[in-house]
Parts: sequence; structure tokens; C-alpha cells
Amino acid sequence: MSWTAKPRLNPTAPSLKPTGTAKPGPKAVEANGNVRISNGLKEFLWLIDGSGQGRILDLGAVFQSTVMFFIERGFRLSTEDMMRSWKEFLTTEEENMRNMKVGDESARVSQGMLAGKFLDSNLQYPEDNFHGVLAWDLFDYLDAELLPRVMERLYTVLRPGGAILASFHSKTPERFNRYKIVDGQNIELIPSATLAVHSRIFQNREILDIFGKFRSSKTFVGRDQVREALFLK
Amino acid sequence: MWRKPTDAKTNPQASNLPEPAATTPKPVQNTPTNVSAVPAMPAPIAQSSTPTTTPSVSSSVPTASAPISSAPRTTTASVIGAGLKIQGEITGDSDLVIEGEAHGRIRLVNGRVTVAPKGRVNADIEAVEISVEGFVQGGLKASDKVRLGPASQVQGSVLTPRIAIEDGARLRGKVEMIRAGEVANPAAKAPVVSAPVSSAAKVADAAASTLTTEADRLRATAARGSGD
Repeated sequence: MSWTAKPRLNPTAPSLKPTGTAKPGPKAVEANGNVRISNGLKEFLWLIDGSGQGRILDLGAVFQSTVMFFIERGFRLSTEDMMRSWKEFLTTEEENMRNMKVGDESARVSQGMLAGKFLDSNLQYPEDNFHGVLAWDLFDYLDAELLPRVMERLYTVLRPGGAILASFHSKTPERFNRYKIVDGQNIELIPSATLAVHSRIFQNREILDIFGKFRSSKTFVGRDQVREALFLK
Repeated sequence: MWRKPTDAKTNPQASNLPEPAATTPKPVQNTPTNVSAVPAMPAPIAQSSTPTTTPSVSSSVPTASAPISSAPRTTTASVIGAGLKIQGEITGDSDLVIEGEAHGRIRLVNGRVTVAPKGRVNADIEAVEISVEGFVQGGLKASDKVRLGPASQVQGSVLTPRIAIEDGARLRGKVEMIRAGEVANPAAKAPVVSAPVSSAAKVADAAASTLTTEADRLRATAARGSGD
């Protein structure tokens, strides 16, 4: 695997890659301070462009604009809000443990067991199913036991040649954001209630290790120092 | 049991309709106006579709979505009230508002289905328009429009020509667009392939794919998750 990360000093520079999408008016973008350029998205779209009626998996919250963005381009979109599912799962498990009798040994569960149980009922898709996966603001928040299992599952459900777009913070984020696509090169950050504690800051080498099975990669560093990582199966 | 509101719902096309000369008596057995007890509901339930002209256009049915149907509808909405639980198949041409619980299958090819905020549905829903404010586990197939409200939770695929998703809605499943009116004709509808299923389940589902509904698959997935 080759690491071809090249931080872009000028994230507003136009991409050479064709996006095939209309750019928003500059006023529209300027009017909303939460809109940021996503070079990772541009590259992601370019990669999945040839997949025809490809299937996309969005692991964030569902938004009308994101759904319509892909639907209008002929893609089939599946959504699964993984952070929320994980939080609800933990809440349920905690409640179950509270209701158990004192001294009940079955109440003792490791983080690994929890992660396995969570994935028994989440991210359940056929193998080689998706042409692309969107995972903004997700992996930073997953605990150390769950993360590698999620990566393994995502590798399984991606088709060969499929792409996964993820983002990683370079510093502890001030707040938890959701992301929705504005157009082919802009995304909007939606401040949201914190669903999980930011787990850790990943170094580039660690990100490579997380995506160990993927064959190639690219990263883009935004003005806000958020790294977008694009990996291919 | 079924509760039919005494007032008819607002019909955007009402002004275009001819004034009813006389009120058609409503079938008594299907339109109880007061539900105080909860008798056992036999399943499957087939609702007879008796269009009734409505003398009044005032609305008592909570419909959050905008009127979209071009064809004038003269039926009133049936309501599965809060505290009621219905299991089986619901078919017909009437509109339906679910404030309680419904399990099975709902197919109103000329009607609108509204799942109220407290409503819980564990069924595939097929209708002209589907508006969800509550919880649905099952596939949504609309020949015109699907609307997911800000507090809605849907686990299942969505097949529709138009979709409106409000911020805060939760959807776990696939969204696929079809041509308007396509779902209303079952013979012409596109097969839904990808419900969230495991690879192991995929093999098992293949044998019975023509008979297995979206809700069945989701239930199977949930059962596997809890059983492991």
C-alpha cells in the first residue's frame, strides 16, 4: 500500500479532476460558515463515477440533501447512523447490566464482547455490496475494540475497487458534527449533540494501520486541519 | 379496532369536487366511531374500500404532509388509535392513520398512510403516500411520495419517486427512486434486493426471496443478533 498523502496548502484551489457537479454560488457558500470544501468528496465522487447505478453506504445521519445528491446521480444509497446505533446499544447494555442481580457473572462483559454483539445486528450487508462508503467523523469516536472489527466489516461489504472516505481530526474537536453534502465539492457541518467522547487523535501511520487491508490511499487536509482519508479496496 | 373520525379530512381537491347531493350512509361494521374497549382483532384484516362522499371538509385527521395527490380522493381516513394493536394484513383504498401499533402488512394502493409520532409499525407499507412521524420497521413503497418527519425512525428500504427527509429523521436502510405510480402496480414494481442482511442470511433468503418481505428479513436479522 502506498501512502500518497499530500496536504493541500490551498484547499480552495480548483481540482483537476472532473466532478460533473455544479458548483454552488460563492455567496451561498459564504453565507453559511459551516460549509467547507471537501477535496476528499471530490476524489471520492470521481472514483465511483464509473460505477453506473452504484451503491453507496452513508454511515452518518441521514439528510435530504445527501440522499438526493446521490439519488439524482443514479446511485442507490443506504444509510446507517452508526454512531447513534452504537450509543443506543451501549445504553441498552448498561440498562441490562443494571437490572442484573448482584454477583451475576454473566453481567461481566468485555469491550470486545460488546463490539462483537453490536456488529451481530449492525452493518449487516452482503459481501462486495457497496461501491463507496462515507464515514465522516466516525472512526475517531469508536473505541479500540470496536474500530478494527468495523474496519473488517467495511472491507467485506465493499466491492473490489470500492472507495471509503473517512475523516480524522488533528486535534480534539470542540464539538461533534454531522455532515451533509451540499454539492460535489462542499459539505456542511451540522453541530450535533455529542453521541460519544472523542476517542483519540490518530497519527498518519496509525490511520494506515487501521486501513491495513486496503490497497491505496490519499489524504486531504482541510483548512480546519481535519484530514480526509480515501482508501480503495 | 378501527375508529373513523366523524369529520372528513381536508381534501385539497375538495373545491373541485361536485357538491354531494346526499350523504351516503357509511357501512356500520367498519366504521365504529367510539372505541372504548379493545376486542380481539382477527387477522388478517381486510378493510373494505367503500368510497364515501363527505358532506364536510373539516379535518380531524393529523396529516403533517402537504397534499400531493393529483387524483381527488373521496375517502376518509381510518385511524388505528393509540393503545390499539393490530396484527395482520390491511388492504383497501382508504387513507390510514396509525397512532397505535400495527404488525403485518399494509397495502393501500390508492391511499395515504400516516404513522403518527406515537405510532409503531412492524410491517411493509405500500401506499400512494407514506408519512412517518413515529417508528417503522419494514419497507416503505410509495407510488408518489415518502416523508420522514424529524422524529421518525425507519428501519427498512424506501422505494419512492419522491422523498422528503427532515433533519433529525433516522433511516436505516436503502433509498431507491422509482417512477411515479410504479409501486401501485405490483406486477411492474422493481424487486427490492438489498435489505440489510448478513451474508449467511443471503443464502437462506435466496430460496424464499419471492415470499419474504422486508419486515421478515429485518426481523430475522434482529433475531440473529439477539440469538448470537
